[in-house]
Amino acid sequence: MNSAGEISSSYYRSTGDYLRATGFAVLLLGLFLGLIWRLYSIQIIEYSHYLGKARHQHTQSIHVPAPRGPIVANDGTVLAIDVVRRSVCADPGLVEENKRSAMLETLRQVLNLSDAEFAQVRPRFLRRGNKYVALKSDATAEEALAIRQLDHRAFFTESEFTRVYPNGVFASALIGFAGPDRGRDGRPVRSGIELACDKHLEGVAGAKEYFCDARRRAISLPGLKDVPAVPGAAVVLTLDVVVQKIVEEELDALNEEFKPETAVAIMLDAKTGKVLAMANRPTFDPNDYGRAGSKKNNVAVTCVFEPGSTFKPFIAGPALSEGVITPETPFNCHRGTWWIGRRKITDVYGYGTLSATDVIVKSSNIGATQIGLRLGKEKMRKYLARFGFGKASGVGLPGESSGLLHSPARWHHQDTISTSFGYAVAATPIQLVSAFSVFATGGVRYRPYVVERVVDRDGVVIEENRPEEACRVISAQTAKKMVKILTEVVERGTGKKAKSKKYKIAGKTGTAHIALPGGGYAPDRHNATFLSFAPAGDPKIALIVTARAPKGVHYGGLVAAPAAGRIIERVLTYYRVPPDK
Amino acid sequence: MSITAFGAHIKARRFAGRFNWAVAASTAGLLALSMAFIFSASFHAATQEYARVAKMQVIWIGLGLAAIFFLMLVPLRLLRESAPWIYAASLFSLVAVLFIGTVHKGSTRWFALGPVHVQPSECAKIATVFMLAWFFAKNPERARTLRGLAAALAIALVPIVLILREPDLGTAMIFVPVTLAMLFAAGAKKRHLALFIACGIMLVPLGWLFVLKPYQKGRLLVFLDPDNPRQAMKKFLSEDELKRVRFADGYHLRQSLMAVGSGGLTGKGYRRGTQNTLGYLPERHTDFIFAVLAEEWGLIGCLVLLGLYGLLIVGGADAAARTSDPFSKLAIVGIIAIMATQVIVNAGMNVGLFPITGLTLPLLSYGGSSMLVSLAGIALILNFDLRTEREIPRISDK
Repeated sequence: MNSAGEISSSYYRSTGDYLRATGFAVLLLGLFLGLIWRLYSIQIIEYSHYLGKARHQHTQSIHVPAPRGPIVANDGTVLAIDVVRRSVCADPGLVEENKRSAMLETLRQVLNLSDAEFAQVRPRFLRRGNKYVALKSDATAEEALAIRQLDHRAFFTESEFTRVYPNGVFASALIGFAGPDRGRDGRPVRSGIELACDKHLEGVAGAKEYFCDARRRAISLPGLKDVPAVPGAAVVLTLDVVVQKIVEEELDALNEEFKPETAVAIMLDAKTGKVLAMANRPTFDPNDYGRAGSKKNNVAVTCVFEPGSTFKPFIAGPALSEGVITPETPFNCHRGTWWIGRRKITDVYGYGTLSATDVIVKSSNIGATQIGLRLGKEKMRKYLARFGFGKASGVGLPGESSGLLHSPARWHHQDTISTSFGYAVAATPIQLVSAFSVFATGGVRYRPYVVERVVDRDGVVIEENRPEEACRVISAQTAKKMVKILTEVVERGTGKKAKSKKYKIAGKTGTAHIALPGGGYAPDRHNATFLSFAPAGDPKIALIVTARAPKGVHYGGLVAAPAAGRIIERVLTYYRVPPDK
Repeated sequence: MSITAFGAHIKARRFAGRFNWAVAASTAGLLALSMAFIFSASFHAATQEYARVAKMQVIWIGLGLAAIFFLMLVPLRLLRESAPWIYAASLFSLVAVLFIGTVHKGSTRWFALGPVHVQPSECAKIATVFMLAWFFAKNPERARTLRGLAAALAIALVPIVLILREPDLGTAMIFVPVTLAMLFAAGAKKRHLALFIACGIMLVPLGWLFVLKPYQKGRLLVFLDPDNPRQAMKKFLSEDELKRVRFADGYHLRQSLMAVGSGGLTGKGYRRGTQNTLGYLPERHTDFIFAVLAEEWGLIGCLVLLGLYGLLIVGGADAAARTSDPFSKLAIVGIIAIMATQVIVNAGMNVGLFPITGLTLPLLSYGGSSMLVSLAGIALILNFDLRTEREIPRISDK
């Protein structure tokens, strides 16, 4: 008899032992199974929960900021750049409470804290439970080093990039500003090129993960995320720093002499549309953006005004092109007062009969009106659109205004008359100088542009702008005729003050009443403008100088033309253009 | 084949048949795991250095193995007859430690002998087991009378009270299941045992109110909700007690659960446990060595570990069942009960099934006293198994 039951019962000393042993075994097995079930539930079922918790605890992820790309002039001169700024911070919780005051004194000396700074830092440092105090936001390298030499884990330095504009007000409205703060729309504050090229300038921030032990010491191990930051690309402008400097200086002189509300000068490369200089008054220092107020507005592209007499070439040119006039076509200028129906047109000086050339040279409204009427509404509008009016120039700056050119449906007969001498139409300075350079290029309008190219950190050109023909406006022959007429404006007409002893300058003055917001015109406030290019024979540069509401004199020929003449002479000399006189 | 060689052959066969291979093999496996994971738990990722404990553990294990050989040489009769003296010496040391022990983290548990700290409560566990085994072996009928059982309980209660004075709640509580297991194995009547258990349960509220200190209560309560321990404590503790609860913020349990849970099925790899090597897991080489293994080897490693303990317990129980000597049988039951209880309580506290009390994982945790006493227990099991007569030989011997 060797059944299992008998073996068991005889294996143990008694049935009692057998039952007891079984009882123990069942109890232990139950407890072990309970443990295993618990392990299964936390290691398998809740695995990701605990893994997440553990990772959250020991992985620290830091944001690696990317420097913003620089903005440079066409010769590489830095106009805006990111520099590293060190700030010194502390975790006061890591300093023993009874040593905090003494430590503060040390910090005061090491960091050269002023009394005001110290008064700010002190309560924050001493407040219980404070884990982070910024001690100094712009520490020098020596101060940062001194902090490291303290070799105390409560103190550390943080580096961040700050935008710096080394030339201050120089071309500031064009360059714009990029700040660390966010505006009301939640987007970072940007303007000018900083805004226009933001996507190129902005680098891609990296991320770095590292393990952190229970004492918060960092340990980097392979396999953790380590994405380096990609610095932003460099934006190379068409701006020439010397030209810009000359323009800024002369604009300052104009500003000083005539105290206008605003003044703008834009210089284009006459044959390509490249912006060589762009300056505004008043201006601002982007390093102190908070106080810039409305001065940061780039009036050169955002502000529209009725151009007045500077517009006459844009009527005469097409009229010549269409053959409705020749330079010699005579016009009766009615001794300065002419009634068309119930509308009175006046000239500053009364003239008898003027040739078409002299209508421009002497800037007769009465003559210009007759030329405009000959050209007619349809053609006038068509040509003006080709000159680029009514549409943003596409120079590539933010907030550019498209100006005003009535649609054919809204174009009244009176508008044909007004437009002939530059009213009922509105343009930005960039549109005017761009349109005016059509005569310099032989009848073709080029799109103005200010970004030469965008180059990434490795020198790869990401984006490049080349001279781009927008459209042919007038024939080369007509353009040549216009150049002759416009040269005479400077030689013997309203633009005499721009005359240079070295170079032949083509130009056109304009003095336009400033429209009042409620309608009508201010009697004593004018836009004084001078459009020009030079040398007339083979134009290199085109220039607009315009001043809004100058004090004292208000004529474009007196306010803007002298500055323009000086700028042109200096710039052409700098470009070593041989005198053509 | 010469006669002597034949005799040696027979002797060797008898040894091989009587030697408890299950206990020896599982012990060897557990010691290997102990060295491996204490080495891992001594690693600091930040400094890339190893703490001294790994080297020390090797020394303890070596000393423990030497103790095994020594204890296996001691005759059974000598062990049995010295039981009361061992018990008395152990009680003396428990009293002495209260006066001349060193204070660490608020309790007086250790004697400082030069650089080594000896924990008398570890020895008291085995001494009490010996005393109880001796007590019942003298007269097996004692287990059947209420008077005899009451005397046995008194034997257990003296060290419990002394250890609670240290205070060391975890070690004191170990005596309860161990004593019950021995009474059960000695053949106590079920109604007597039921009576004791009922009395014990009734004593729990008294213990809560009069014996436990606020911090002990706090630690017991933490495991109810480790993420929000104060919440649970507010329900059970008075304002005054709540103020005195310290070091019971659930940090240990939270970290342990994170380490175990994030180990998953296969673990993060040996010495790659982040919670371990980055130092988040507290007491990682002692009380939380289980969590280190669970993190680095995952559920599979835990099953291997529990399997080894299972083999040890089954091997021990087998020895207890086969032996004819009542003293040996009860002593083995007691030793096995100590091991099993500690494994379950320690593993349970690592996974949040038991409140955290400073109990070590036998044969695995770092600690000289614990390691020496555990190995002594193993040695005694092997010793008893070799020396006592068996009623029934092993089936394989037939």
